[in-house]
Amino acid sequence: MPFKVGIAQIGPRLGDVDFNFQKHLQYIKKAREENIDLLVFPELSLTGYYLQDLSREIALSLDDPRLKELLDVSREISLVVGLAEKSEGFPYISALYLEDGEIKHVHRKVHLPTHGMFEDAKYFARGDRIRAFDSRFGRMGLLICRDAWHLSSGYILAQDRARYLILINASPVRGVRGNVPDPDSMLKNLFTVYAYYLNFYLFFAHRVGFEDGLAYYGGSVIVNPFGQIEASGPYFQEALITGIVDEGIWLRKNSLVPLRRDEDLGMVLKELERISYERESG
Amino acid sequence: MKEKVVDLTLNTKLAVDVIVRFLREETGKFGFNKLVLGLSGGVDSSLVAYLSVEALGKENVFPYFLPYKSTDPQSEIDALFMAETLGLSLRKIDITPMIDAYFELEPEADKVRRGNKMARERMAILFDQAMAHSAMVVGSSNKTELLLGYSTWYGDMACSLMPIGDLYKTQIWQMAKDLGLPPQIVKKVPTADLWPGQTDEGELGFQYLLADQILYLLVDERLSPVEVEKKGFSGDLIERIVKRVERYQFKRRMPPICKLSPRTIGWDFNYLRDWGK
Repeated sequence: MPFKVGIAQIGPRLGDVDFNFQKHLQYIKKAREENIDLLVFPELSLTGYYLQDLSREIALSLDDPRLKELLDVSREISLVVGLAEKSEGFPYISALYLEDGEIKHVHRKVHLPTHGMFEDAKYFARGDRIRAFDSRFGRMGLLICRDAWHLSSGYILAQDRARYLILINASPVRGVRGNVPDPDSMLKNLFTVYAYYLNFYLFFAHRVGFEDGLAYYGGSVIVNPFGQIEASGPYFQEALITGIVDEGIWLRKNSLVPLRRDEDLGMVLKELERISYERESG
Repeated sequence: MKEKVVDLTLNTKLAVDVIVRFLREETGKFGFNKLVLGLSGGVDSSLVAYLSVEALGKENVFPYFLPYKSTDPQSEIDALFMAETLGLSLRKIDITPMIDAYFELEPEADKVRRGNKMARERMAILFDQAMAHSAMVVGSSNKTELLLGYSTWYGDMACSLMPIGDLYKTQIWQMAKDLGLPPQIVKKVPTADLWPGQTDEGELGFQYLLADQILYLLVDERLSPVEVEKKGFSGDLIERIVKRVERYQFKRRMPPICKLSPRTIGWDFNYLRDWGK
């Protein structure tokens, strides 16, 4: 059955969870009016991205009453939200998949960029798994921002039989010399590769707004398994982007270009184990 | 050597889009919708005036021309022309009485001390005017002068927002030209105009065209001085630039706080300015 996906390209307020929560409710209301089945918010959508010391102070536990309210709503509309998730030690950068009143999946950002302007690993704990999960639309995978730069992340989710890849981001502009804000064109190249060669429908939810001098550029997209952009959001502005997702297209692509069928996971594993062994034994 | 080894050309439309949104958001979040700026008649402050008007509308931008008695009369003509072009009314406040009153007490002061005092006097006036208008002070420092430390600490560097602080001087020329700023302003010889005959390139001892390319390779591309020299730039010039960048790092940082406690501002008390905004 085709379903309608929405991307809430919002600009969260740094460290103001109540304000951001209200904004989530507004977008959910709008999405329900548009009969959207799955609504995706960007990375750290409830908290803001560049949290530094705020990360511990405003991290949410999974039984937070505001999340409970979103869980109730998820009986009507499936949701992906981003937050700093409380833990015993440092918080995680997490993405929650909420559906039918349950947290169906928690993805904790595995690859924490910590170089140049990025400080993720200074303030956050690292997730230790990348796993696909079942949703009412079929098998899904969730990744957060830098996770996707590591090609192994998409590969794992494809091998884990995800058909839909949800990627939520907070990427600041770091170049204005090309046609689009840097790194957008490299990311779009990556999405095309993921969608076409790993056979995914890809939903990219990217935030907008400023945090001090950092501009998050938006440009969220829905990419079909043929690598074509089916819907795209504006740069720099809040927007609700929607698209119809057709499982039939996924199935057709999967049989026309049967890369998943022909993948040799056993061989890949054997080679990776050899590489790992050789590295360890020097 | 070739004059242009590295291409620093911007996508002006995209850069302006980001800057305009930056000015709008970073004022709005703090409950402001007005900007105050010093308009000298030079390209940097003219460009900032243009961007400010784009962001907040001409009724919300308040430019000030703040001359000293030695200020080149052409500066006033250019500042007025720029303000009129943007539909702004330019307020002139002569800083001569304030500066002269102080230096009557310090007659031995050299031109650098006098120039710094002028820059700080202008800063004090702009912040006071910002208070009067419930506005923020928008600065005109560019990346080249910030890196070279070619500005007055707590003088022209002091402001609430730096919209063009990540643009090299040559990129500012390009942007100003692309946006159709008056040619006499874009083509003007850059000067702080703190004393008669002063020019940036005269005082620095090198051209912006070369300095920007060297800075870009060192800072943005992270090449080593040796690698930059291999691109065809003078080793002596590279060394002078590297030394300036290092020497003036202090101007780009908050003053160091002597750490005495487990949690110290600037060391382990880390929040963005946009905290809660």
